[in-house]
Amino acid sequence: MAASSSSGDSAMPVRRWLDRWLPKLSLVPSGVALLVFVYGFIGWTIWLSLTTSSLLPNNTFAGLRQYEVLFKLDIWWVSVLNLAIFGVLYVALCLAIGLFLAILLDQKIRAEGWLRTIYLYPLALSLVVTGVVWKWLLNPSLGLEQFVHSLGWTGFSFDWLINPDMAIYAVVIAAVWQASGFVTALFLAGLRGIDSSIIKAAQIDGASLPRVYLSIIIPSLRPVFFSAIILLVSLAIKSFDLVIALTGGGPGYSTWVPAIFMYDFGFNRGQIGLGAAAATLMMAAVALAMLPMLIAELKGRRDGHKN
Amino acid sequence: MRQTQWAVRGVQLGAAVVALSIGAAAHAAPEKGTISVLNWWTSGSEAKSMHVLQNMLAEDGYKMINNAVSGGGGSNARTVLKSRIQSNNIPGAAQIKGPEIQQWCKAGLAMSIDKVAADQNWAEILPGPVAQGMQCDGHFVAVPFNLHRINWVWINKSAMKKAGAAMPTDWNSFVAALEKLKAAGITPIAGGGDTWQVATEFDAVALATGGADFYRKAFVALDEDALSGPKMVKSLERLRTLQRYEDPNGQGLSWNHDTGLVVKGEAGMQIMGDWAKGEITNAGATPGDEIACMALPGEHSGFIYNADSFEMFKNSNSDKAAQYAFARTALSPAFQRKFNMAKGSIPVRQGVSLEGFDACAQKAQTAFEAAVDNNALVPSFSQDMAENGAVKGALFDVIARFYNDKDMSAEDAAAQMASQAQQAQMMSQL
Amino acid sequence: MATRTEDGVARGGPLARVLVYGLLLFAAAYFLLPLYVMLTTSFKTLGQISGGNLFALPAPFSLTGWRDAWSSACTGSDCTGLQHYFWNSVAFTVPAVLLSTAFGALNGYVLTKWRFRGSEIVFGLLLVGTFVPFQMFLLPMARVLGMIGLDNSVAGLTLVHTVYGVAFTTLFCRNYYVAIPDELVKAARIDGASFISTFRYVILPISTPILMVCVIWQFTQIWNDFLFGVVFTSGDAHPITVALNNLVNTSSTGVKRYNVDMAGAIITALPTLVVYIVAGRYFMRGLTAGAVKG
Repeated sequence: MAASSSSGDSAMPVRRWLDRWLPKLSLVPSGVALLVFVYGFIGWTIWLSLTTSSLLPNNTFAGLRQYEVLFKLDIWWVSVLNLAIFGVLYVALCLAIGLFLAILLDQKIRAEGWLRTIYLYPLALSLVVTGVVWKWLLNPSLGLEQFVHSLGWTGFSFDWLINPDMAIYAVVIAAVWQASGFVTALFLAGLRGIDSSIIKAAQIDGASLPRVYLSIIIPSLRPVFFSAIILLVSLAIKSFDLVIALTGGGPGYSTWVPAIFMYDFGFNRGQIGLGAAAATLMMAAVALAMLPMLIAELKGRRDGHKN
Repeated sequence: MRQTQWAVRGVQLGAAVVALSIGAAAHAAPEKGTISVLNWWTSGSEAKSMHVLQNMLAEDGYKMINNAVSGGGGSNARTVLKSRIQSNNIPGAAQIKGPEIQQWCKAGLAMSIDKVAADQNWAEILPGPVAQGMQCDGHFVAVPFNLHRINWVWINKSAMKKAGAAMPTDWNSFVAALEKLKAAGITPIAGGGDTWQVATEFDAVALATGGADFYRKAFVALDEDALSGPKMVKSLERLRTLQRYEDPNGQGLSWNHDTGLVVKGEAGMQIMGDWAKGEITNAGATPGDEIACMALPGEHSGFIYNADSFEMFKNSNSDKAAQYAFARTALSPAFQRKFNMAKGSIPVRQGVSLEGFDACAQKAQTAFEAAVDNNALVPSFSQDMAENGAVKGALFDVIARFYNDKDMSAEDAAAQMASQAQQAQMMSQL
Repeated sequence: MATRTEDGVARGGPLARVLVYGLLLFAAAYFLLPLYVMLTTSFKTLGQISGGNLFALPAPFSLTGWRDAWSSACTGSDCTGLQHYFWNSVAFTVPAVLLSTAFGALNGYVLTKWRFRGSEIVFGLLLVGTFVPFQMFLLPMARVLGMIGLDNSVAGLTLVHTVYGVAFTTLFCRNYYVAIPDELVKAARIDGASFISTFRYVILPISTPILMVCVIWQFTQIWNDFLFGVVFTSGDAHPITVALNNLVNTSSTGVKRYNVDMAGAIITALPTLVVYIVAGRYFMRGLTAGAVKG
């Protein structure tokens, strides 16, 4: 603002021109990067899924052969189902725990800084190793079950990790542990941004505390929910390291997810075309799942603005 | 003395490598040439073996840049290799084994090292099947480092004694021993942690049950009758038997953990390749002494081998002379002894003295020679020696499903093995 | 019993306070349990790890794991521990975090306060960048970096991390700025403030909490990245996560040393932890600096 006072009338057309174009120009670097590194690569991946690419990418057209094979593979459907189960539980639990802890932390808590750091730290640790720790903790003969047994409660059983039907839920436990602290921080930043005079007014009107949260605070956190969901969905579809370190995809391939599928088929098994087909379908599915929310959010924002 | 000299030189070399990669690598003038080597050996004994190689090459005036990336049984290294090829920064040599050697060669990327092979007379000094695996269109393109034996059982002798079990000689006495161990409250077999481990066990079972001809027909030729036939069914049934003697809680635990259980006597046996010796020694026991080694017993005997090897690439970022030197040095008797003693395998170069190797390595050598004579030497399918990644993956998937689904019949599994392997084979040949 | 505090949020009675603290501490225990196992394991001897109880305290107390992880464990190209990989990671993490945060703040500002026809679509398209399955993009990325001569370089790695980080930072900043009343910006513009000076003097001063969120997120993601690091660097230029991976993931035929692994993991995470503690404080400062008032 200090700069503005020095600009004379002669500078005004330039200024107006700058104000008109600078905002758009400032998006150009991100836009170009986006075009090449996201959309360009998506296009390339889709193309590869239509070729015979195996050990290395090639350009021999194969039609929908890769998709035909993909649909016949049990391991692909297991991966997809796992991502659905994992994704829904992971997002829901992280949001619930994150919001709950953020609200608790927002109650003028002593040592808030320490607690917040404790909740956040799991994100700092490399999953290559924390996966191993969770593997021990969740293993029946090493971890929690054994510990509870040693306390005398020998009937206690917790064998999710070694049960092919339950292992994916064990992955959820470790994954929620990792990310819910960050969601807490996100909500906390959101809570701190809320205009407190609105809350005061509501309380003077006699609204109870839960009521204030439910009808005023939480609705105004809508953009935070949006950020958190995008973030968690993105983490969920990329979940790779944790699953590898925790279960190695096992028992058998019962905890495979599409990211592992793509990596293993694309690089390890030398079936790049199949990996690309998996990636294409996954991106399409995510786009379809997120589109309604995206449109609602963007529309809602615009409408909200008009009011 | 000699070792400290090496250590000093190692430090010097390390410093040189650092300097080289900080300054523009291409400009520094190596004495005779430089080779960058992509591999997945980062653990203690293996990494140290690579340092020995680095030092031996340095003595001859060559620089070896060791680019090691571990993880996922080499899958991270494979990813790096493919990316490097895309950005046209191809390593001089990369750790590649089994049929994948041919795949890279067919992609037109392999470099012939016939010159070294002729100089060292590889046709003579390498076992026939191994030498064949290193060639493509009649040219040598890869150099083998070692021979691991897969079909070993590691047995804790005192656990057997405690359970009153006799050392097994055939399948039935093997199962009887497992039963005795179980009755004594000892986990009979430590294993079943992941599919790789189960497949390694199955590898041994299939050879012991069906014999070398069957093994080759099924896992090398992908013959449909062999894959879905009675011998495969019987092998799968025996895998199911083994499963009954494994701790279900062992799921997800690494093979190292299992070896530890055997050494401590909490488990009686482990079916695993001879790299288990490293863990046994680490836990303070002697392979062949407290922990006995024997081939998994059955109707047939033989030797399932796993040979680690490095393929040479053309148009790489390395000098041809250094690539030749790498191959030559890797097969030198001195390196063969040092490397294999550290890794638990036996020298792939024939006629190298085994003096100072442990009892199990001596046993492996005897078994190897017998297998060569009886035509019972087979490449391990579980260790990527028999099939390319696509087919191996398909076989692993079926084994995983069979192992996890106790209601799945051996017949169904065998039939699926045949159809899935065929499909993967077809896809990789498109 | 509810008493009002100066910020308007009511405090419950003593019983409610106990409940709140109880829940927070229980959550803290859940978050800390794995760290406890990691710390104790890192101070144990290998014998105690393979033989003992997971929750037992180290006895004897051994520093071998830490010493080895720092200075003598084998990490691939040599056996000198994690020490010199530290700076490799710093070299690309710091610029990538700063660049992606700066671009994110700028993008967020434009997308909320300087809307134009299609700006919502630009934002939507940008969001797709957060769902990219990186595994499949390694090969085209390698090709592009090779073409522009940035493969195997710190600059290349910085570029990649910045590009894929911008989607997240833009998302965070946009959703924070959207809540800032437009009147604030309008008033500044009436005063004659330009596009840049409005950003500099109006928006940035109230952005601390969200910029901290961006820094926390970006620092964590970039510092902990393994996939890009392993593919786009080699040997001595590897980031610390690749060194850690090499230290932890012995080949299937190698020997596992869990105490070294755990110590290495904690050493690797230290910079991120420091960022959390420091950023956390600024989080608070951003709040007390006035934040957003209507």
